[in-house]
Amino acid sequence: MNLGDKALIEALLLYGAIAGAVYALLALGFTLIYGVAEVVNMAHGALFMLGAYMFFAFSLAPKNPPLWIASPFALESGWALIVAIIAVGIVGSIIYVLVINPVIKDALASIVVTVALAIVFQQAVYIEFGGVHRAVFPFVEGSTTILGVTMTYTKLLAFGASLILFAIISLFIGKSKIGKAMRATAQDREAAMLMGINTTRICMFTMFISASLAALAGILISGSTTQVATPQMWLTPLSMSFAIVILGGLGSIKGTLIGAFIVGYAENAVALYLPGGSFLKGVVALAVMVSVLLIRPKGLFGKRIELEE
Amino acid sequence: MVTLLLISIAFFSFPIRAVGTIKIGVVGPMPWIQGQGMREGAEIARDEINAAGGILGNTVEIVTADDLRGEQDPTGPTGKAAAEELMAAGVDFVVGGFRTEAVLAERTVFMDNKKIFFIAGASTDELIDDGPKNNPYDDVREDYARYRYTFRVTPINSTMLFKSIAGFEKYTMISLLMPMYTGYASPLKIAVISESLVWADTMHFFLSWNDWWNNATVTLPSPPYPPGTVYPGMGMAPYGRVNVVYQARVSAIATDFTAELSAVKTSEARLLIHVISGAAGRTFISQWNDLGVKAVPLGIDVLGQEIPAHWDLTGGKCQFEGFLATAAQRTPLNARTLAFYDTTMTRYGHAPIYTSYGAYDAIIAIDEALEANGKWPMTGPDGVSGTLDDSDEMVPLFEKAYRPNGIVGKFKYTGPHPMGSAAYDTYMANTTHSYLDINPTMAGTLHDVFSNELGPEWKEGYTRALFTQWQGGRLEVVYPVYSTIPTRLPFSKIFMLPRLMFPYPSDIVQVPPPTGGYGLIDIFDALTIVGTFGTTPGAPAWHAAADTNDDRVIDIFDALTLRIVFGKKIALPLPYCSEGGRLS
Repeated sequence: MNLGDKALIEALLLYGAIAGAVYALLALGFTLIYGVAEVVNMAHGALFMLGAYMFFAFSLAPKNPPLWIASPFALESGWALIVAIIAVGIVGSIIYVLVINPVIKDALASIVVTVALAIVFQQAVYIEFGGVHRAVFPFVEGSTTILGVTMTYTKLLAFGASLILFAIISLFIGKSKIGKAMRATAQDREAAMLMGINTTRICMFTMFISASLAALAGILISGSTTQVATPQMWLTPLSMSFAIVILGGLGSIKGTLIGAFIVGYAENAVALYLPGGSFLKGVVALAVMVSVLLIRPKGLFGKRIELEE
Repeated sequence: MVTLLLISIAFFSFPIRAVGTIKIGVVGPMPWIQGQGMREGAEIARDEINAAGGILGNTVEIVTADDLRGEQDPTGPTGKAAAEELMAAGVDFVVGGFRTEAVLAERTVFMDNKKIFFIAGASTDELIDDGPKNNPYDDVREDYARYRYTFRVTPINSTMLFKSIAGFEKYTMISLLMPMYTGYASPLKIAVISESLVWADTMHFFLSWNDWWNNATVTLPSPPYPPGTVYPGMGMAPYGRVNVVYQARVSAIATDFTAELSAVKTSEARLLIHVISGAAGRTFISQWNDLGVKAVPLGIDVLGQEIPAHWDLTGGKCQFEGFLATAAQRTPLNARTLAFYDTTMTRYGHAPIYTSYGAYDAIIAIDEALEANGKWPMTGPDGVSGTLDDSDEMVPLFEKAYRPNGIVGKFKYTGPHPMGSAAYDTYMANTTHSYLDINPTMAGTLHDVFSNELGPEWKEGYTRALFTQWQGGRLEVVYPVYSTIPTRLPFSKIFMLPRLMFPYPSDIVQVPPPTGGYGLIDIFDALTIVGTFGTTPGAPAWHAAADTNDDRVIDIFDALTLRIVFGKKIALPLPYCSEGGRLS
């Protein structure tokens, strides 16, 4: 196949766009909690994993029962999705209050405790669900052809959900009262407190949104790719989130979106044009990140926090 | 007080071992099915042996160690740590080892301690014998004095694995794919996707090499092979040739194959060789189905062996996926195979995979060897029992073991003694076999599982890789086909191409031209439905091809489907078409 092959170009355009949107959804929560609370949440991947497991636990497949939830709790997929997202959001809020907030003034300590949390979550999942795979079936089956490229409906769903959520989150932060409080907290925490904003509560709420987004990403991405949940599934999303937000600029929503698309296109370009080195596609994405940082150390969108209107 | 302290230190510094116990360590990725299989096989063997009075009156005890790190889990122990854990536990033998990267570290610890290590999971040639290849790893052939405590009981090595894949695929291409798609007039397009791990390197190299597929012989590249090394090829040229149009090495922890599978689709490959041992295999096959890739997936997918979980977890998307396995669903290779299968199902609720069979039989073989020798504990050359060189007395016991009633076929080790063996030198000087071929006349001291048959017949009955395929929710053996032609093996089913690759779903008779076949929907198709009517998967008469709507029962709806297209003719070969699928 040559570089100008029309089919390959079309595949790259579409798959890169979809991968970018999906990665953006994955990294949005990560950048949000950093932007508001200045927490580098290394447990973000673990919350992604918890989302997939919660979805599995609440939407029982008849032949694949979980170990700890009885079948009367089984829900239709849509309800299971909502329950799983809320449950993981609550978990995120709880860990913020109990573990992260006490060390929030020490950036290094917050990194360490969130790494520890990730490992705790992994081990908890091992204990409750075992190391075997658990099904995360896609919401919609089948595929369609766009520009001669086959695309599964579940990936299109993830693509659409990602873009819609980005728009909703941006509007929420820009227009709502809580969003304004979040921006105020992001800009100057002490000043916000002096203005009567309960910054701890705002950060806790931000963590709720961040964890919920991670859970949603876990469900949608697992459903559209691996279609199973495993206790080790948190590492790759964490490293990808990290790469994307560093590339785009920590705390920048716009930067996250653009960084995600760069990574999505880079990965798919490797897989399509250099298949012999396809196993390096994750590495290439990281190399792109490093290259950008060498030129622009603060990422593409240099400001540390960019939650203004 | 000081004395008490010293006694305590001495007591806790050495492994505690009950008198009359033989400890067998099991090392592998314990939370995963590969390690789980090892543990389960070992437990069943332990219980059977102990129920029969133990080994020479000694009770068998199993000690497990997890070597998961190296895959994707930063919290799991390393291979070295796992091996040291077993040594600290005072094990007498070790069984297991899955990932080559972990096994290399484990092997170092076990060889340092002269501990006999039966590999029951890793296929890489280099762990036992890599032939003339020049690479950084020493093995039993290159350094017998150090590595003679290493044996492999399962699987057959990577060389035999890729030859087994290619052997079946050659058969399939000539009998099915070429008449359908090329009419033997042009090259059949194939694609190869392998995970980027050591064990798959040799396989990927050969399977993606056009010259090896097409020519009768090829000259291997130097390095790593010695200059001028000639090696037998698959000889596809007389049939119109094979063309590898796409090949990819993917990460062992890949979570998305959309781009690679899309490229396969664009390439118009009709055979897709997948070589995947980890979790990615499940993602791969689900996405292959989702994207409607019109290439039959035939290769290695270790997780595919998980019965019934693979079918359930993919939601049936693995229908018609084919891969190598030690056995399939309740395959009656012999009475022991069935008994072990049933015991595993009863105790653990799922079927054994190849590591289960391997770990089980390795421990049974220890029992047989020691019972036959009539002595435990052993005494090494130093004349003192309980020292490191005790293993030296045991190595020859295993080397000479010939087990006609192996769990998945007759079992013996490859050989002979490689270092300074006049017989070996004479053999190598005169043989028409290549270096990498297994010499069927040798037995014993190269310590790899002996396997010598690749074709559609299984005459001698030594352990070999079987080709299996998911059909209607069951994993069935589809190759080898015959014990001796034309005597059909009782457990072997007819191989199916994915329905997407057929012009009509009801073109069900799987007999290649010129004796019948794809060109016509005719009375043979109708007779197949009549002969299988009312059956479900697992029934002796069941034929997956007749279940035209894949609802796992052959009924009136299948007959109606046939009625709609009965009598239609299809011009062969079919044109390549990357989209669509049904020519009707």
